[in-house]
Amino acid sequence: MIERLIKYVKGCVLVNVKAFSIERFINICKAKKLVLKDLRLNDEGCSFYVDWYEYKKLLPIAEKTTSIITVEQEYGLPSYAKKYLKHKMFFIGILISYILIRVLSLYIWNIEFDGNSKYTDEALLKYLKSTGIKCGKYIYDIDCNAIETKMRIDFNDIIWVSAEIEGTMLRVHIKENTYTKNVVKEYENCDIIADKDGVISKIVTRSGTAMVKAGDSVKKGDVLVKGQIEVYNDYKEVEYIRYVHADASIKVSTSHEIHETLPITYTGKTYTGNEYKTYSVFANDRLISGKEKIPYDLYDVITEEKQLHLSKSLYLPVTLNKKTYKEYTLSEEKYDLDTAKRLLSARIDEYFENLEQLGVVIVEKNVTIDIYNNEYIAIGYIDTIEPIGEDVPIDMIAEEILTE
Amino acid sequence: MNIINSLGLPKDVIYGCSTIKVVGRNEMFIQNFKYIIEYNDSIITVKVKEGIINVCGKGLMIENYNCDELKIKGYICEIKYC
Repeated sequence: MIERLIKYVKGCVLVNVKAFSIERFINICKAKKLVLKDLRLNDEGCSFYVDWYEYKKLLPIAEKTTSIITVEQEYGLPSYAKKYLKHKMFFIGILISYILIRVLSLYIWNIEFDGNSKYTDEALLKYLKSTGIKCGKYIYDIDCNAIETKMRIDFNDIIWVSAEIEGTMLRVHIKENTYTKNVVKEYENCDIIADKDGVISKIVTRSGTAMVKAGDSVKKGDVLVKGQIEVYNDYKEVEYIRYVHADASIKVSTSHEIHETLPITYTGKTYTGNEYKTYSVFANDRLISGKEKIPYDLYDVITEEKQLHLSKSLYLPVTLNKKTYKEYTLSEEKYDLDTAKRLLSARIDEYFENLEQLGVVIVEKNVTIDIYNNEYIAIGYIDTIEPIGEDVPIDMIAEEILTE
Repeated sequence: MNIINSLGLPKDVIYGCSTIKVVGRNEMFIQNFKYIIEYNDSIITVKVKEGIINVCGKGLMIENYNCDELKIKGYICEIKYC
């Protein structure tokens, strides 16, 4: 099989020779050390196979013996190469594109983030740019472990980072901390302090000593549950105080004030319907072609960007940009009462939803919408029952001094 | 001659003698020949160092021909030294 492959690569030619004296021709071929295969006699002379690159050596022999050589057939790779050599620019083009892609794939051309909700992609990109990581950076200069460590240190809310390079894309997976409160650890002793004013509606103490009961009024900063348990001896005297991590479910009735305003007149946009589209090509954030002149004074821009990529992870530094400019004119408009009520109610409902997500139960709503001083005002209050209490660590040194 | 015999050296290489190898009645290899005198489908005449070899037969053709070796194929009737 290897022999056949070598034969194919070398190539051979079927030659027909018309000669007065075949023997003389053949003997001269032998003297010139040519290899003739499958030598057959025919009416005109003889035919044989000879290697492709040896064919040229037959021509002076034919001249010497006044013979006529004709090529009947060509076999093998050299004959194809001869045919396609006319189209050499095609092959050169393929080679250049291959080299270009290989070289471009050594750089990062796209950075993607996932798992981020608090921090936008743009903010994280800006942060990475400040550390020197941006599109166009050489792949082997990027240290993923260093990126992960630095991001975990610089961002308090990011608890897990994983950076990986896929093709020409840097993918950063993030997990954010959903907790916003300063949580006191379970083994730390603490009291529960009121973080708002109100009237206690319900208290269930699991650990510690309750200082309030249902129906008591509390103000912000009052101690609700003390993180200590007094242990009495037989004489009903305090023998010692055991400190604990106070734990309780406390609900308080309170009220929140509602105050939302909406101006009666506003500047509204009226779209004229005129649109202007521009197409441009960017190579690594630099404009290559396409004009940027806009014919309108006031307009909204809708930009569609598409970065070229050969596969899901092999991105190229070329971005196609389509911008649609929509012209509008400004006009003074007024909200009517129904629209104003609808907009204000929507805002208030969103506020209620946010409260409910924090565990607040709205008992009563008392909100009115009115016109006052060139504005629509939504004013009122809501009565709520909501959780109360903040863990505050006990200052053990101060406590020791007090008990002494 | 004695040295060549005792050392076991090949005679065709040392003396330049021709070598004929016949396989059955259809194939023949001639090595170390000088040139071809006559070639047609019934007679092939080859000049060697020792003289001339005449190969007679039917449907004779040269399958392989290079400066060292010649392969004749066909129905061989006679091999004659002249």
